[in-house]
Amino acid sequence: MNAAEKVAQANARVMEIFTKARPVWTDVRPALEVVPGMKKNLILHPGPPISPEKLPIPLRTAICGAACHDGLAKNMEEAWEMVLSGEIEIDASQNHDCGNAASQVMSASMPVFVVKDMTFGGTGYCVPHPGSNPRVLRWGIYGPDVEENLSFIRGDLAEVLGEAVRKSGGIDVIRVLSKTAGMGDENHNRQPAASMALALELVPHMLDVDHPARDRVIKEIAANDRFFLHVMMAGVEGIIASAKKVPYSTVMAGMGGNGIEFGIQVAGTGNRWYTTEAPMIEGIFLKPTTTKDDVLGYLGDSCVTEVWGLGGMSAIAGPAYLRMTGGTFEDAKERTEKARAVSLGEHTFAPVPWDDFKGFPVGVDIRKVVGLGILPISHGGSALKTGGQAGAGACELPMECFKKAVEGIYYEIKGEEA
Amino acid sequence: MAVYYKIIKDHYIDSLETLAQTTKLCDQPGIETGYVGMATQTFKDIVSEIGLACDQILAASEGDYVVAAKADTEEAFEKALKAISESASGASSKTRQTYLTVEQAASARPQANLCQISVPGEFALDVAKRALNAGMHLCVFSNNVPLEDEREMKELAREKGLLCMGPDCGVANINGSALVLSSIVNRGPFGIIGASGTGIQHVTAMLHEAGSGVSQAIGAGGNDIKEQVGGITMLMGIDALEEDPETKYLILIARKPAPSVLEKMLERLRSCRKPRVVYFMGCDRKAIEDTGSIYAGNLDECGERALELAGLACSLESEEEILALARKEAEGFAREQKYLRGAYSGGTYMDEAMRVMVDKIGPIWSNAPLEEAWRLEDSLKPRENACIDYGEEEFTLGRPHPAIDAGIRRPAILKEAADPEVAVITLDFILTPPGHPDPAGFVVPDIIKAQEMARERGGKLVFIASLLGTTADYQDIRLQEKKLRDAGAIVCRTNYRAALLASEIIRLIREKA
Amino acid sequence: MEKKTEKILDLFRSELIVVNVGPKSFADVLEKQGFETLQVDYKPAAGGDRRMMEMLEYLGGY
Repeated sequence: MNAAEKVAQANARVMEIFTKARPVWTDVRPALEVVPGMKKNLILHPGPPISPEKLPIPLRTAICGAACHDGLAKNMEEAWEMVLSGEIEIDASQNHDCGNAASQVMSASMPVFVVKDMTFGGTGYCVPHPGSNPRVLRWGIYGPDVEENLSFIRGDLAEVLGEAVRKSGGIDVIRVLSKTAGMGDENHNRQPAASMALALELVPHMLDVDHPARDRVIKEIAANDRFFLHVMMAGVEGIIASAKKVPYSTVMAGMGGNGIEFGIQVAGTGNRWYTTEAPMIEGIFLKPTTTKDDVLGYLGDSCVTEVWGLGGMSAIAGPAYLRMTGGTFEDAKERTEKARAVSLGEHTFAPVPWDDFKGFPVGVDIRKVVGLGILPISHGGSALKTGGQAGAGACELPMECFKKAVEGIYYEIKGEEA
Repeated sequence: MAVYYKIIKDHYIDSLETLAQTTKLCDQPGIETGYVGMATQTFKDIVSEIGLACDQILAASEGDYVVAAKADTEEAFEKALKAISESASGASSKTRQTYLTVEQAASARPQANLCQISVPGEFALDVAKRALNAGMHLCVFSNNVPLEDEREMKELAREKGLLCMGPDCGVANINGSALVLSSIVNRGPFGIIGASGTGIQHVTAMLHEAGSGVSQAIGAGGNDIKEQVGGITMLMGIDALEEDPETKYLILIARKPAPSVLEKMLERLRSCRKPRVVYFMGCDRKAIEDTGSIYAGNLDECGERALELAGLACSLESEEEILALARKEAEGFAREQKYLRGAYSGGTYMDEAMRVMVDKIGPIWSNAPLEEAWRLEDSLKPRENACIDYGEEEFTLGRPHPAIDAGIRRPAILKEAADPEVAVITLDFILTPPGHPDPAGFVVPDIIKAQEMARERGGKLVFIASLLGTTADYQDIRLQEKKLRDAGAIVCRTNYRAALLASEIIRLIREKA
Repeated sequence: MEKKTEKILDLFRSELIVVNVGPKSFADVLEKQGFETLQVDYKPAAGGDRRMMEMLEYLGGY
C-alpha cells in the first residue's frame, strides 16, 4: 500500500470512530484511580506541554492552588518551588485522555467524570464544571473560598453525582445531543439545552441517593447551564483516545492552548503536539474596561469539542452565541461551511432545522486545511493575563500547527518506508 | 510624499481584480503612483522599478496581497485603501453566494454542469480534477498548464464522457453563452470545434454578422493538437456535434496539428456524416479535401465557405476594392515615410497579418516573427516594417489579456507615430463581455493626436483597424467602428483585409520611390 | 451502454449553470447574459507553498 492509500484507509477508520462512537457517562472517580499515568505529584494542565518558567500567571495560580488542595504543599510559594524543582510534575492533560477547560488543572485527588465510548472502548476524563461563580480555579483564581468549593466538589458533589450516575446505569451523551437538536446549543460555549436534558436524566437518580448533601448538589447541578460541557469534554477524550491509536491518519485528534502556545494533535501521530504561538480570541469582553493588552492567548482544552465537530464547527447550530460575541447569523453559517470544507464527515445525530436539517461537520483533515488554506474556527472564552475570565468569542486555528502536522505525518510515513 | 504599503498575509486576489484596484488606487486624491498585486517576483520587480519597494514587500511571499503607493500623507493612503476595498466589494453587481471549494458549489447546486477555471496554470489540474469528479464539463481558461497536466485532465474527462475545453481556452460558446473572452453570437446551425480562440471568435462573428449563428462552439485550447495531447478534445467535439441535432454543419479550426494528430483527425473526418469546413493553418488542401471536407485557406475563407453551405454570404471587401483604396491612400506621405507598424493584441491575428504582409513587402520584424531571423532584439524598439504582439508574456505577465486591459497596448500608438519613417499603423480590437467597455474610444484621442503629429511633419499617418466582435457584444461593433472612422481611421471588415490594405500601401510607396 | 457522447449532449440540452473558479468578473458577465453562476473563491493550493504541496501530494492530496 502506498502512503496515500494508507492515509485514506486510516482516515476512514478514524471517521468511523468519530461518527459511530457512543460515549456514555458511567462514573465519577478520583483522578488518581482512573486517569492513565496519573500520579500523586502530577498536575495536568490545558494545552500543549510547557516548561514551568513559561507558565502564564493564571495557570501558575491554578497549578499551585491544586497542589495546596492536594496537600502537596503548605502554601502557594512552596508549591511553586516544588513545580520549579520538578518535585511536582506537570503535563498536558490531553496526553492522558483528559481535558481541562480554560485555566482548570487536574490533581490526583480531584474527582473526574468517567465517560466511556461503548463502541470502540476508549475512556475520557474531565473534572466537574465548578459553576457560574467567577472566582474559580478554572479561571486561574485560588483562595480560601475557591478551596472551599474544590473541597465540596471533591467530597459531597463527587459522592452524590457518582452514586447517581452509577444508579442510572450510564448516561448516553449522544442521546442528550440528539434530544436537544435544534435547541440552539453549539455545545462548546453554549449548552443550556444539553445541560437541562442532562439534568432531566440525572435528577431522578440523584433523588434516590441517600446523602446529607444531596439537595445542595442537586441545586448546584440544576442551576449550572454549562454543566454538560465537562461531561462532553470527557466524552470527546474517550473518542479521540481510540482515534489516536490509528496510525497514518491525518485527522485532527486533539487541540488546546496553555495561554502561551497553542497546539494540535493528529490521530496518526497520537500524543505528539504541533504547536505555535497561542492565537487571541476575538469577541467581547465581560468588562468594558478590559483591553486587548490585558488578555492572554488561547487557554484551555475545551476546544476538544471542536475536534469532535462541536463549538465553532457547529456554529450554525448555536447562532445565539455568535450574536452574543458580536457576529451574525451569516457568520455562523460561514463558520460551519468553512468547517465543512475541511472535514471528512458529518454528524447525523443532531440535524439543524435552520440549515435545511443538515448535520454538522466532523473530522478536520489537516491536509484539507493546508491544501485549501481554509482555517477551522474555534469558539472559546478568553482569560485575563492576571487571572479571571476576560471575555468570549472565537479564533481561527493557526495554520502553522497544521503545516507542522502535515510535516509530522509525512516524515512518520517516509521514515517507515526508509 | 512618502511610500506607504499594506500587506495582507495569505490573501489571494486574481490579477484581474488587482489591476482594477491599481487603476482605482492611482485615481485617488493624494496618491502619486500606486500598485496592487500578489507579492510574486514579477510584482516585486515592478514595485522596485517604480520606486515603491521596501524590505517588507520584498520579504512577502507569493500568497500575500500587497498595496503600495507613493502618497502625500498616511491619511491619504488610508483613504485610498478604503476606496479600493469598497470598489472590490462592489465589483459584483449583487451579493452572490460564494463557495470555498468546487465540491461545496457542486453539492449546493447539483445541476451545475460547467466549471469555468481561470487559476494560475500550475494549479489548474487540481481544480479541473475536482470539477470532473463532481461531474462537470470544463472550460479551462488558465494558460501555462504543463502539457502532462493537460493530458491528464483530458484523459480523465474522456473517461468520464465529459467535455474538457482548454486549457488555454479563450473562446467557447456553449448553449448560447459567451464564455471567457468570446463574443456574444446568435444561435444557429453551425457547430464549431477549434484549437484557436481568435479563429473561433472570428468565424462565429462572421456567421453572426451574416444573420446565421452557432449551435455550439467548442474551444479545445491551442495545445490540443500537439503530439502529447493527441487531439482528445477536438475528436470528442466532432463526435458530440455529429450527434447533436441542432448542429447541421461542422467547422474545424486549428493551427497545423502534429502529424500523428492530423492523421487521427483526417481519419475521423473521413467517416463524418455532416457537411464540414476545415481550416487547419498551413495544411495541405488535398489532404483535407480527400476526407470529403471543404477546405479553407484562411479564416475569412473559412467563414465564407461555411456560410455558402447554408446558402448565405457575407459582405467582405473584394481584393479589387482594397487595392483601389490602397492607391488612393498611398498619396500624401512625407518623403521619409515608408514603413508599417502593427500593434496586435494576440498572436493569431498578428500571424495572419504578417503572412499577408510578407508576401507583399518582405521581412516583417516582430517579437514573435514568422522567421527567427526577423526577431526584434528589443520589442520596445521596432524597426522598418514590424508587428508587435502585446498579448505576449513579456507584456502580460501579471496582467490580464490586452482585450481586457487595453492599457497594455495603448502606449504603442504615440510611440510608433513619433517615428517619422512610419506611414501606416494597423490595430486590432477585440470585443468580449469581460473586455474593455470601449476599446476604440479608449485610443481615439491617441489616434487623433498621432495624425496631427504626422501632419505637422508635413505628411500623414494612416491608421487601419479591424474589429473582432458582433452587434450583440455589449460594446457593439458598429458603434466601435464609427468611433474609429470618426477619428480618421480606416476600418476593414477583417484582420486579413486590414493587413492586405496596409502592406499594399507600403508596396505602392516603395514602388513610387 | 450509454453512448460516449451522452453527457456532452446532456449539457447541450440542459440549462447552462456555471461554477466559476477565478476572477468574479467572468461570472458577472455570464450573469449579465442571463446564465446562472456559482462563484468559488479560489486560493492557490497550500498558499503556494511548494514544499507543502509535495507533502500533501504524497499523503494523497486534499
